[in-house]
Amino acid sequence: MSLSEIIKNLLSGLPNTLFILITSFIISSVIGLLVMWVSLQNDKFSRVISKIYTGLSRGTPPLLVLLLAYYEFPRLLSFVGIDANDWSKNFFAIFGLAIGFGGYMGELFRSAYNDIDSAQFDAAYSVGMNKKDVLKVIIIPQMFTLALPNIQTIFLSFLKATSLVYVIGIADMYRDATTLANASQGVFQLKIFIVLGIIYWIITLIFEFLFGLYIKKHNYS
Amino acid sequence: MTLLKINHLKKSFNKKTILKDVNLEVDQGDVITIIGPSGSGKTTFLKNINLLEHPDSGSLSIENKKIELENVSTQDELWLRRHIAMVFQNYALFKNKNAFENITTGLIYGKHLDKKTAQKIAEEELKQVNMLDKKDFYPSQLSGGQQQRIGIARATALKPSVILFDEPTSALDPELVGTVVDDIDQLARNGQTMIVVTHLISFAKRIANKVIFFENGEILAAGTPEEIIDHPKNDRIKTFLAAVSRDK
Amino acid sequence: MNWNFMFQSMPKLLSVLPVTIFLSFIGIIFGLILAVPISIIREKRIPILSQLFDIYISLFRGIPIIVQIYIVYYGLPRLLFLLNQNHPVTKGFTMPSMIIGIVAFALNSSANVSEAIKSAYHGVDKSQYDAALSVGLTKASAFQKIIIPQLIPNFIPNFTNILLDLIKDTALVYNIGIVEIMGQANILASFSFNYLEAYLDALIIYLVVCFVFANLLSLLENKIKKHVFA
Repeated sequence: MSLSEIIKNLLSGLPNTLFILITSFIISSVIGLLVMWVSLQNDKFSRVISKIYTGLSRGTPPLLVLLLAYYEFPRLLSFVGIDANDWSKNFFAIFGLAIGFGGYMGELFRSAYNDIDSAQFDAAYSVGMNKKDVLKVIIIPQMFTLALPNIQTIFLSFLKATSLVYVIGIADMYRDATTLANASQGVFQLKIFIVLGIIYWIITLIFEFLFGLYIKKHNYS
Repeated sequence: MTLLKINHLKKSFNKKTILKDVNLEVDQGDVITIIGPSGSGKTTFLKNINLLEHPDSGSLSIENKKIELENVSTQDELWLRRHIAMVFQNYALFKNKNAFENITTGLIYGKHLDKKTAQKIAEEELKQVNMLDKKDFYPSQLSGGQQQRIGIARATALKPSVILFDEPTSALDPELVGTVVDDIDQLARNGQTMIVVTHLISFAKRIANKVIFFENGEILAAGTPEEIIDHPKNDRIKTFLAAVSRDK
Repeated sequence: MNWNFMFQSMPKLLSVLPVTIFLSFIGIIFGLILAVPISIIREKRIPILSQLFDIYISLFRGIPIIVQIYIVYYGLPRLLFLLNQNHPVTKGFTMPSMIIGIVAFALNSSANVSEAIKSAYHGVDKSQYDAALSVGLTKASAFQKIIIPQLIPNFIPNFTNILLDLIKDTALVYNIGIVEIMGQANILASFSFNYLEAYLDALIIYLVVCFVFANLLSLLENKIKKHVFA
């Protein structure tokens, strides 16, 4: 099989990889913001809960998260009376990744928030802004800029984690590669994985470049 | 008697000339203050003297030894630093050493003195700056003024021919500046040869016997404090001094 | 939910925990050993080598670990074969999967550890180095006495993350035939399809292991900080 044929074969799984990547990342960000908000509350219970979730998130192998999502989620949903047996596998993959990384996202946002100079709040209030506006106009934009480098890192971790969705039988690039590899022998298998690796690498470089541009544009420190 | 002579010091970086052609003669006991706008190259000049940065060309003679500054040998570099010490703007005390050790480190590892001698000297120096009771304190436990005084002690302990001061009071709270200024003044009175970069004009005038105005990588004018600060002939200097005094 | 099964499988899973720990520790130790010279070369910007290593690091950080494992799995025996074509040992030699796992993790962690060293190094104030030189220390002394002691406390948090990630990544090596926690869980579950229970057992073990090491390293960091900075 020629090189270009290998590439074409693997790239057929790329759209699904990207789809899972972007949706799970967005959902995980929302979860992360939620976790951050909970962790900043004044009562002990909230802070303990967020700490526990973060600990779980950081101590669980992504592979395991995906497997548990696939096997456990339908069970959980059935308790609430929802029949999830026919749901698309992508759904479990996306939620698995989102929940699995949620703790990391929460940590990311929390530390960005804490890095903001407290004088910013004072200044914003002193010109008469209400809490909602202070957050919306001053704090969250600054938080976002501070968090960007870490967001980039986690985004790329998501990309690499998508390679694991094969365990629940989803067709992505990695799955295409193993299918191809199993159907061939010898040097071929090595070649396939090297090509796959390079494809992931190039995608990583592209995203790093894009993030870099975005960060440069929004960096006002 | 000429202690230190700097000839044709030049430095460029990324096609930009930072030091144009700097020449300086320092006599024993001289206290030279360098004033001038920020970005003029004053700090770079100092760092090129004790070779924390490397000049493109020029030469330096100190204690009757001449060193070509292009491609200095490691040996010469180390030798030079035993005769020229530095006090930094942000004190730069070794964060992982206490006050006492900050002084002994240079004596033991730079001057290669034995431990006992080094410790004796360190004690003397700390006594001099009234910080003996803080000898076991780490920089993080000391105020800016205290840290700077130890920074000065660290330099004087080496008994160098010349001490370079890079804006020694810039990072200090105003009420702490006075103590450090007095310490430096005392050193001057004791005969220590010094080159001090500072933006405090009254300080510059008070301790110096020579003042240099530095701008755009070169010495624009040099003379006595009266000549440069009280009766500047150069328009640039007049403008600069006027701007600085406006801040008061 | 078959609690009985969960209870009974736990000791069986724990029996392979040493494999997980061994693999991740040996992997990261070799990674650390490789990372030091790589970091030095990159900091000194030695021509050609530093660019090569920049690419090396970019590759190992940009390619999913499972893909890296397979590349080593297929590639390492091939490489050895090419280097030593007629040596009686390499001919017909089936490489133990453990070695492949260690090599893959060593290479991968060397890239991450090198980045961690780089950021810890840059986290030390530059004027510390200048001050050390200005009192007459040689470059080597300055590094040994002043820079490195301050670099280490910066380094530990990142190192912890790398180690924990590595422990979690060992969950993938059952694919190449190493029986560690996930592998064992799959085996145990396959008899009567108690996948959920087996995975939950595995989850508990991973959580506890990560928790323990995260805290140990955190204690170490505090101890070193106290020792270095008081």
